[in-house]
Amino acid sequence: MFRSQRESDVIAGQLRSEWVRGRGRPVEKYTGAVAIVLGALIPVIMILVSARNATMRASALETLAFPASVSAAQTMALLLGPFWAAAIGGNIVGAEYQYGTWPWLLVRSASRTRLAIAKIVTGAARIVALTVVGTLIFVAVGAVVRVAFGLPAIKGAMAFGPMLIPFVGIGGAMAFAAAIALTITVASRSVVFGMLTGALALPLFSAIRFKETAFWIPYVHLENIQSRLLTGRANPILVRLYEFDMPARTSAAVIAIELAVVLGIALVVFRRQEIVY
Amino acid sequence: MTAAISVQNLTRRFGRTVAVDRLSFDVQPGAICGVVGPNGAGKSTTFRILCGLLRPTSGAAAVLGRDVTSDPAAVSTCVGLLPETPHFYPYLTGEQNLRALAYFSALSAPAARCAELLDLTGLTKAARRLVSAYSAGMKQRLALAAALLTNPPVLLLDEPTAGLDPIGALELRKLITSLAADGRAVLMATQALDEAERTCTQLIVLSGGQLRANVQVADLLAASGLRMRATPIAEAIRILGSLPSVRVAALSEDQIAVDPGNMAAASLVRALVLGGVDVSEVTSHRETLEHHFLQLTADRHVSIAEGV
Repeated sequence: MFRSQRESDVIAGQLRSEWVRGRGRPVEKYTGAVAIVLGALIPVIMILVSARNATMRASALETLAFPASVSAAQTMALLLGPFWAAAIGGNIVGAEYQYGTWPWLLVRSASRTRLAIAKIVTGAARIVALTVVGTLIFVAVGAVVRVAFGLPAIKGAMAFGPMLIPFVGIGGAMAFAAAIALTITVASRSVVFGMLTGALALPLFSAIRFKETAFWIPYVHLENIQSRLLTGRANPILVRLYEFDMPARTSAAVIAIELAVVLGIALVVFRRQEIVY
Repeated sequence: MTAAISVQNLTRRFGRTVAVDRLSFDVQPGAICGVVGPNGAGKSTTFRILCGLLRPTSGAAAVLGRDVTSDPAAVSTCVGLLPETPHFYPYLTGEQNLRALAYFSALSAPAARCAELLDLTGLTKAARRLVSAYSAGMKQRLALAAALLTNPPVLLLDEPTAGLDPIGALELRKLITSLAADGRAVLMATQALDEAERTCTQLIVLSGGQLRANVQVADLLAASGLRMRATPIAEAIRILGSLPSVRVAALSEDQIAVDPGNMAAASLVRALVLGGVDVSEVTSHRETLEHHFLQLTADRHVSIAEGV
């Protein structure tokens, strides 16, 4: 009567269920659409707005050449990424409150921790997939535009590492946006409030970035890690403004602890929360 | 035999409000136990505790011998819940909703099980329509399919026929009866007393969070008796009152209510006629659950555990 299921089967089943339930969810669907549409449209817009200025047109075409186009996509991801990460991070739990569907999951799951982990893993996978797809589309459309103008799609060369290292900062900013959105959504049971807080985390932290507070600001650590990985030295701006000089590993540890604390708060609140139908 | 559901002195408080107050009852496998009571009686709170969504303040509740508080993992595998007003993912089809829950439950053959349950609940044709386009009755049937996904031996159905049309309610009652016939224990909250009378084998009456009655429906309805028009009425009462196991009471100047006990109606009439009483009318009188329910919930101090 009491079936004993293998733990791996249960985890795989929950992950699959999460993925299926999120596939058609409006926030995820439209966030994905925005990432894809922007990835495809921005290169075209760059060409259109530079139509009357030869210098600007040349600059746009330079930007769209691979591997420079990867850097341009990174700029786009840094601006928009935290917003869609917050949307997904908040909505992955918020949708269950909004639709009143938690009871279906809670009566079937013996562990709320496992349920939360499945949601976090699936949300992270969605955010990564969205960023990769958006970047690839931007780079591909950029290449097509250059070819259309009779130019080679590739110009110059860049090592694989330096091309990808900026994604560390972007990924970190998105992870924090998503984690904060998730935690605030769980605590407030309001997906809108959670998303807004997550999306505004970067400017909020930037506003309180001083010499005294720099150690606690995750984005300072992310900049430090990026700089150390790219140049092997401390970021001169961080050193000058905040006297911030720390090994990359220490910064990584601080970030990991801060993320764990944020998600830990969400887990504690979620485990104690009374959710009924 | 281990009770399918066992509740002992269960209490749940919300601040100063006592939603469930020292509630105790058992439900055996194969029984359909109706839980009736006015709004705020503690029905849904009891269901929420039994399926692990709420923790009791004190007391214990067990499903198939497993405590819902200390062993929720075991309980979650053997309980199927149909919540009051079930909600689904409106952007998914009925089939996708069911499959998502099947994956979540890590079923070995989710597609086949979902198809089977959609067929059982009559939703096969509507399986590929968005749930947002479902009627209340269709959502209720989909919820029952979701509750049955893991083939649980215990079903908790919180107002399963709410929102259903008469035919839909009838079909669902038939389905519930057949599920119990397979040995499942069904605990079913309902506001419809006629539904409880037709479907349930056991009845629990709650009021103000307290147990007012825990009875077998057959026993309750068997308490029905006879109505007789007889003159002179005093003589009729004297004669019938002297018979063993027969209880009698005057209803009007010429009408009496008779609980015949183990005696046949013909024997009672013969005794009256031989005693010189004219009997002009004998009718059987059937009590309804509604009548009992109103009696039970009208007086909060009624104690009815006897006879169960």
